Amino acid sequence: MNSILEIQDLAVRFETDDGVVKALNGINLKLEEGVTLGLVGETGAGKTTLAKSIMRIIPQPPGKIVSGKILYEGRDLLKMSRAEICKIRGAQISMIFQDPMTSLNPVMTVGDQIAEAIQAHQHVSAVEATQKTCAMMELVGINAERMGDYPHQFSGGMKQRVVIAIALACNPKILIADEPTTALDVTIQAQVLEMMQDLKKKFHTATILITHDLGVVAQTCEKAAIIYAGEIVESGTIHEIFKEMSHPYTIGLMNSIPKINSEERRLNPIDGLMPDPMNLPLGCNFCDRCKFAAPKCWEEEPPVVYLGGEHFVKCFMMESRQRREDWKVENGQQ
Amino acid sequence: MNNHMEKTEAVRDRTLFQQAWRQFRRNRRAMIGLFIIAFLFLVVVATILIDLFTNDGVYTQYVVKQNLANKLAKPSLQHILGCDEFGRDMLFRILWGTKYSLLLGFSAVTLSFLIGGPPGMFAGFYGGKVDNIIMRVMDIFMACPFILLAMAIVSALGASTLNLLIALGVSGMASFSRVARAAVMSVKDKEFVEAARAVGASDFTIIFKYILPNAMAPILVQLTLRIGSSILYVAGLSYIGLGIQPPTPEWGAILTAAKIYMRNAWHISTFPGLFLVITVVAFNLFGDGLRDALDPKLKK
Amino acid sequence: MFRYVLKRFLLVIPVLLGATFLVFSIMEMTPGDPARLILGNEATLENIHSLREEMGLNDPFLVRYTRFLTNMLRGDLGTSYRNNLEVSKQVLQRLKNTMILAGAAVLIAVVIGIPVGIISAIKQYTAFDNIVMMVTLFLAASPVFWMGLMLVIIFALKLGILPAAGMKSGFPAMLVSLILPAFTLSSNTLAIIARTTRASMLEVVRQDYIDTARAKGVSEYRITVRHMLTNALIPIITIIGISFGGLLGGSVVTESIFAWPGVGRFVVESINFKDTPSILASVVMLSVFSTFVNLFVDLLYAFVDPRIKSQYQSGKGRLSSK
Repeated sequence: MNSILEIQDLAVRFETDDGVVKALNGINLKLEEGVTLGLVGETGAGKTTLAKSIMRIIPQPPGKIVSGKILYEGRDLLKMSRAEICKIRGAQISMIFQDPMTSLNPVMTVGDQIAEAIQAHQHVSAVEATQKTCAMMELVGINAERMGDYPHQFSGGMKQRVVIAIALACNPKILIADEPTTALDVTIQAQVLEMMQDLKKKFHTATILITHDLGVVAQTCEKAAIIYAGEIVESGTIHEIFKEMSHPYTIGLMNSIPKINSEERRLNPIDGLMPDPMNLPLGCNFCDRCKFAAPKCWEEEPPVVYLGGEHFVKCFMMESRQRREDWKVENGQQ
Repeated sequence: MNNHMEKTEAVRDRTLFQQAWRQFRRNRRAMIGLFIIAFLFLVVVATILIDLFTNDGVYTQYVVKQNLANKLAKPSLQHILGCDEFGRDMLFRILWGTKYSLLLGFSAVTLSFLIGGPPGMFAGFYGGKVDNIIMRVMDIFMACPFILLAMAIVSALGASTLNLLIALGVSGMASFSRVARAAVMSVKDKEFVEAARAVGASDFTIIFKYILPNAMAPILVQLTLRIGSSILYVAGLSYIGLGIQPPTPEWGAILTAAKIYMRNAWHISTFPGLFLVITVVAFNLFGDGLRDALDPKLKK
Repeated sequence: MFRYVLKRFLLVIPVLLGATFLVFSIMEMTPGDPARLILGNEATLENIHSLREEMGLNDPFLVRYTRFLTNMLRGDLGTSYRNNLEVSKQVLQRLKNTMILAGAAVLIAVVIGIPVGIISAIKQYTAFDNIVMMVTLFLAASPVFWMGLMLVIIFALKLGILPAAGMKSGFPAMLVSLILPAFTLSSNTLAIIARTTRASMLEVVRQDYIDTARAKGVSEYRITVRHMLTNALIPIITIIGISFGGLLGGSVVTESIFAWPGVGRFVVESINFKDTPSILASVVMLSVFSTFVNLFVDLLYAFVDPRIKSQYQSGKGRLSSK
């Protein structure tokens, strides 16, 4: 399958009064039509920055896209004019944000906000726009009679549905969902995720699902990419990653999830904190927290190692085949 | 290495005051305001001392005594800011007038706080009927525009410095009571107040020993920010003849005569006003800096 | 919603009554005998006494207050000590002029202040923004009467293009004579509105819903108008309302400088003449006026912000002071 979205070597910096924040350092990613890619990482890893860079809504001072390409259907988004990018936003590539409580304009009715997305890209009459708005609302499970209500009159879960309705109103080819359920209660989370799955099947939208929850990724995604300190440290299909988890960080993440069918007395967190993006280490960004780090890891940047299929890892441990076999034995993957 | 030094300094910043001062120091505009205020206070102290030591000699000679030969003299090397309609040197008059604006402005605000603060605090603390009654009374005061109320009081009591102070103090107390009430209400429900109550502290102790120090920050900021407008009101009322009377060289009073001589003597109008503007700007910058230093959350 | 509006209206009445009592009590403290003032220094004690009886000045305080109140509600605000004319007529006549002045000042402050604030926020940190911040800093700190003097010196005396004083009649002439006083009066408010607009815009620009709007592909222009402005302007309404009190105060001084025949100047003259009924009436009328303006602004605010509106529609409105 051809990739509909390809990110090549994307580097983004923020120049602030306190220093330069290296938010993204050489991101490589591929997304195919209709595929859901889970982008996993902890807070501060650069997930939202990546999402916003694709949409080109990074504030340009202090942000700066230093290098790289974002190819959408072959065209570099970063080189497009303002007008061209506006046409793509909302219509071809949509985004939904993390906190539904603040994502909607408080003084505009919900119906107007959905209709605005439609009327920005399609030349339809007001009546048709209203009809389409009603259709979208029903689709996400909101009573269309509530078109004239304001955001504050809805609960968190309902607001997020509105946000999803806005994003899918023009049937985009790609949807970027930035932690869409993090701010919601667990039960609502399940509902919203289920709804998103249904819509995905219906519209065949390619999705980048940003989350910190490996469980959600396993359930809903076909591919995954693990992001740490502005870099993709491991990426591949779900099958590949979960079967042959290779990067120490990914393994750490997996191990920190308590398992329901085994007796464990303590949780297994990954010790330490992510490095300060203003002060990234010379070598591997994960070396301070890595159980398997060798002296080399502090001095040189680890290479990208391809492990077959779509699976790649950025780690010295994976370089030689022998090492890989040892590794698998060590981690009980054999 | 750097981290180590920063950690030590962080431990040293224990009191709120010290933390606030460090934040304040970094704010260039606030520091400029502070320097100007400090300079003005020096002028006030200097003029008071000079009057004390020369037994008003300098005052009588240079500030009050008329010298019609110099009437309306334009600015020159001898008289840097020119002379007024009675030939008195403007620079001397303006410098000697500093203390009225500053001291009166400050006192009026303090008076407003002293009269309006406690009712506001009680209203915020007790809530319910007490709150309602006190706030209704304050609403009544606030129904009248500030300056009209002050003018009415001055008109009833007679135009003098003391009456001006009373008028401004009374007129401003209502809005202070609101500020105090809001400040108390924001602190009242915090746990340390509950703890104090659990230990059996009396209401009075709780208000003045526990709540007040914590609510002080917004009150202090309001105080400072209002000094500027207070100074302008002092000048304004003196300008229309309801405040400080000539020949006392209060800046607003000096400007009263300015209007008549506008045509030939622009310097009488310009300079006292400039001093007023700079003074008020200084207090505003200082107040802004104080607010940012005491609650950085407000700024970000 | 209508019930809420009515409730607010009714609540205002006792406050205003209280205000009349307050001002009346203050004026009570004026020393001196009005009868003597009217009759002059040569009057005999007998004449003074009978005039006092006639004017009802010997009655106890509460009786006089009640009389004042009942008269006021009938539209009679007393007779001036100065010229023996009905006060209410004099005040009303001048009130119109003050409203023209204040109205023009508000207009100028809003028409110049808001756009300047918006542009300043959009172009934050540029030269334009820095200049605006500096200028508004000084404008906000300038005494109104000084600003008036400076404007007169520059435009009327040195350049000679605008009149220095007086309110002319007849249409174009009145507007011309309105320019300097209106700009003078508006200076402080203009600065405050510009700054507040800027701060409000900066606050709005950072909100998530602006990102959502951008992600929808909405044009920058529409984002600025429909998403940023509509939210940023809400707090401005409150500021305009609050400045109104300051404007009334400023008008006192401005009218004095420009010999504008408004209520402010009338109050100053009355004070100089110790004309208590005039002072009383003017202060009361201006208080009533300002209270209603504030109420109007409050209601407007509730009307414009759907979040507040629904609070009051469901009857959960706040009753106590803000």
